[in-house]
Amino acid sequence: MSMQNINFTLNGQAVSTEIEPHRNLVELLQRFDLFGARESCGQGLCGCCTVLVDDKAVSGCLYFATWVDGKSVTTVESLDANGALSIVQQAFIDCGAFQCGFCTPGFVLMVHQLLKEHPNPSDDDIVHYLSGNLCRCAAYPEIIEAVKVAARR
Amino acid sequence: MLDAIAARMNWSEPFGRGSGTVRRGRGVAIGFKASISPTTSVAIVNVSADGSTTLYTSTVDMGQGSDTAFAQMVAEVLDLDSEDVRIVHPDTDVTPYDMGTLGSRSLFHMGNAVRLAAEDARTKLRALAAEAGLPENTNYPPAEIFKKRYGMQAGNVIGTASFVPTYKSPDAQTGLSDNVTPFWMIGGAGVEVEIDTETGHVRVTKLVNAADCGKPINPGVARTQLSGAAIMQLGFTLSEDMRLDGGQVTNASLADYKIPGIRDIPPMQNVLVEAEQHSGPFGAKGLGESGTFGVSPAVANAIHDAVGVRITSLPITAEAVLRALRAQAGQPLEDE
Repeated sequence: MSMQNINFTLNGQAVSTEIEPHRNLVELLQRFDLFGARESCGQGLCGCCTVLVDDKAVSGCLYFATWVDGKSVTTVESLDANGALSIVQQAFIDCGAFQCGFCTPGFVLMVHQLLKEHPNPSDDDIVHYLSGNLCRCAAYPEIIEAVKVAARR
Repeated sequence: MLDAIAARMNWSEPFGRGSGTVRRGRGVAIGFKASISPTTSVAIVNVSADGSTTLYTSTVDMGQGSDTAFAQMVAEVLDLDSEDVRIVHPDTDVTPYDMGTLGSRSLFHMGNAVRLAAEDARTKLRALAAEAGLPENTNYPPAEIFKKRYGMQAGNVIGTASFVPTYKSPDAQTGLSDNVTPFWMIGGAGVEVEIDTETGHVRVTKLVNAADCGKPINPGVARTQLSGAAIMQLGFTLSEDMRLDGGQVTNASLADYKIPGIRDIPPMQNVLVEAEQHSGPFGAKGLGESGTFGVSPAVANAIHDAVGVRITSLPITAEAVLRALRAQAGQPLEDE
């Protein structure tokens, strides 16, 4: 399979690599030792592989790796890059907004996009933005509370 | 527990029955379940020379919070901060035997083993303190005891314990036993629903969950687990239908097998009904499954209350309710 050369910004740093054209974004990130975006359903239905591309949430499992050429990719690993958790991450911990934590990176990134676009989200805003993320431990009430706590901070 | 549910359901107050094609109803249900028996759990607590403490167990923390609860227990016995207790996760090369992480048994069974192992370590620390010539019944930090005894920061104290609850198998003739489980889980729910009688659609407008949790070791974690269990059960109740064809699952995708999403959560209240489980660690008992017991029958009871049909299989889809409504009216759907 012929490789394709891509150049993109990964968590603020310019990177370039070669990748087969059939690989998806989750697989690309794994080659950079980034495992926060987790492929769960592989159909874009669960939100566990959520990644921000040019500040817009995408499902990494449905997004071809080569499409990030020339774009900016943000993963959950960037959120505590300066050694401190983001406000959203800390709010999730303070509210106990997870049990197993498998879905948490996807929720956290989606909440970052929500609060960027709606700093004081209504309940409708919250469920609208998070309706594409599934949590099998069903920590939804705690997640909604965490969003409100993060918005207040 | 029924009182706790009834109070939050305003059970003694008048209840609006709806009008036109939308009918309202409410229901409650409780259930109880034995934990698993006979079983064995083993724990090891290792107190190191600097006072740091490590707990070895084979309980798998998959999110239920067992690590947190066990760290709290060790810290309570040894007078430490729970953050200072390190947990070594299951590894058959390293951690001692446990029967399994199932049956809501970890907090009770392994919790008892953890408590006993920590108490064993505490007894040994006190003996070490006596050898070092420290006065009895004084609360020296472990690091000081080690230093005094060995003249340097050195040594370890290892406490260990097994917990094996008593058990009597059911009688071969009667099927009865007066000691079939070390504790009982008790859980219940109260539900209000709205039924669209033209489509059979069921909307849960209120969900009260309650469980007897003994004395909760960590109320926040316990409440989250109670809530999560009830929502998962709500999925089994209303939408999750695993279809099989020749032994193969034909809807193994989140597009076709519908688990609850954030839009499916009704207004909820979660109630920990406290009691003292005398045989449990610090009065606690298992809670893993309790939040699931009442949800499905409470929903079915509420539907019966609203429209008079009795649904006895899951999931209770709009189609199932509509078929029952049409049959009740003497106008069954054509394919029946």
